[in-house]
Amino acid sequence: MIKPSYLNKGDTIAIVSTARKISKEEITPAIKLLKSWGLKVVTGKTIALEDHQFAGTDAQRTADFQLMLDSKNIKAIWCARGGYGTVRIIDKLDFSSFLKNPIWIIGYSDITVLHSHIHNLGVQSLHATMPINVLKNTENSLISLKNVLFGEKESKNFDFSKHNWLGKSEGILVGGNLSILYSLLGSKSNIDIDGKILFIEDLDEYLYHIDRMMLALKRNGYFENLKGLIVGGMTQMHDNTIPFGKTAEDIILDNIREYDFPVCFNFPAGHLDDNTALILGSKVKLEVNENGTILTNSH
Amino acid sequence: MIRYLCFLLFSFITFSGNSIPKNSHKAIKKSELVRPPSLKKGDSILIIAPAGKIQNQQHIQAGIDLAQSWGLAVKFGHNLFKQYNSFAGTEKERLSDLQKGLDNPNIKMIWAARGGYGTVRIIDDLNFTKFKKHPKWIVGFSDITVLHNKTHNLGFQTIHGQMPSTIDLRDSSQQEAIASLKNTLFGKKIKYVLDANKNNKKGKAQGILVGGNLSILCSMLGSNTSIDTRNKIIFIEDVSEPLYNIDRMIISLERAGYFKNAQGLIVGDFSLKPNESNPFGKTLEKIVIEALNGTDFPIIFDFPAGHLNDNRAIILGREIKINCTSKKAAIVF
Repeated sequence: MIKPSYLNKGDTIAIVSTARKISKEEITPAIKLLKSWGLKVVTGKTIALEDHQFAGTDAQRTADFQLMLDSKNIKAIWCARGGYGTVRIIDKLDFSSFLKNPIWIIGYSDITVLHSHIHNLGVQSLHATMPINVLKNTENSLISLKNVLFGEKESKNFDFSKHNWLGKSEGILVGGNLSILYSLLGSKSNIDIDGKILFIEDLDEYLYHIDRMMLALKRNGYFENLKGLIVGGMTQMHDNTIPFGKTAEDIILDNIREYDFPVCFNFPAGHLDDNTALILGSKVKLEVNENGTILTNSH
Repeated sequence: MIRYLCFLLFSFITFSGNSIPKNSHKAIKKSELVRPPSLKKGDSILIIAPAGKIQNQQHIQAGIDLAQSWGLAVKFGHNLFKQYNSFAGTEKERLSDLQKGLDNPNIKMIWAARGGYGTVRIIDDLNFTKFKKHPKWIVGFSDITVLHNKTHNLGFQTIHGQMPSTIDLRDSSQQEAIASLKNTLFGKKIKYVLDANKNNKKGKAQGILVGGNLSILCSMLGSNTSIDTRNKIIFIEDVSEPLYNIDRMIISLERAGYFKNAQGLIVGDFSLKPNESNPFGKTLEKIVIEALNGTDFPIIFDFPAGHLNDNRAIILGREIKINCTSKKAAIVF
């Protein structure tokens, strides 16, 4: 997989929105943060644009992202927030100059559309917090973003979850938001999963729907040759009046019960204040043991 | 509300009476899927619950009374009233009931008591070998779309229509839906003519009808139960989904190639939630028209099928004709 160049002080990073609308005030903390890292910041036209829920019309969001993809001096695009809308522009984007001059695309949640699409183009991207979340983010999660952007090697240790399946493996990290991965099934942006390590997280979903989505991934062969599963935040799960009778952890394990690969839960990434940066498309070593989980980027 | 006419034409002579030729389905047009034998008085039907649990017999009594009033002998799946969390029994229990229905040649129709969630959890463990030898009607909607898709891919027609739990015999707004279910089951020819929705896309088309619940169709994408929609007319319906999610799902179908070589689209009821707190800014019609920009087949909105009282029966897998003009939309089975 192609790795975009790491950033250096003085480089320029763009903030745009591909999905939900966002105000200038809401990205101010992110601009301050980037400047404190010695970066220059360009704000796209979609910041403060509004078309109902969206940060501008499809055409406006496409044009803004395209402009940043094609600009020679932009070293990274930081998506301001998720919501819904990236899939509405993904097929209109032209990645030809991006492929000649790959840069970091950063975000999570709805931005999983971009991660998956770019993964299939063979370029790494950055699953990390977004400008809308910066004020609430933990110091650790912001530092992890900085470290990845500036090319500092990282190895992370996390606490043990009793649901974990122990084991060691190595593979290319892929994934993102479960609802988005699910919505891309059968399309050309559906990720090539063979032999990889899958990360999933989700927010605000009914438990029965987590089951439906996990089963859909399974029925698409997602787990057949998987090398590992990393489960991030499964945040604000809902239940129906008649309880589903299982936790999100139980549902996930139940759907992979016939497979054999390491699984770790409670990985601090996703819709959490402690949203650790992950390089999708990079080779990682995953070790899940009795003490916890170690995820190492082998670069 | 939409006003429309529904009328039956002729009963199907081939399928009426007691002397149904064993391989009668072979007489049907080549392009069509296998048509299970029409029901006749005295036939046995089996009520099963492959998904959500049934509280008690009262919950489905209207369906039982209705089928009996048609002269059918109603049998219950052994585990029909079992409960396992939100499900009508464990997977094993639900699977066993449905499998017995598929395998028993004396059962002429399998009627899903209700939807909910859970059919997909047993679909890959079902064995259709005996069903293929003795095809029978499978009837239901919503979560039962899983079963419709599976059966469609095996080459058999199914009926998308009311279920025992959704029937209310005292509700006059269900009369037409109930009549349409009887007509499809007993082999009467059906035709629906609706007043045109102003968003309809005009045109004529002919093709095999496929589809069902939009959420379920999406959940099947990329799997062996996703349907091949080439040269077909697609029907969709859903319930209480926020508009942004309907947009996402229609785009998912589009990006999976669903509409590329289809012949038509029939949009059923969507039972939209009123007063969405974060307005999407587009109507259902606009979402559909936008996502299907680039197709040139007819689109019919407001077809009365789905999660509404007036849930008309439609036959999936049947070759149908649609004709959509500025005044009317006709759907001929």
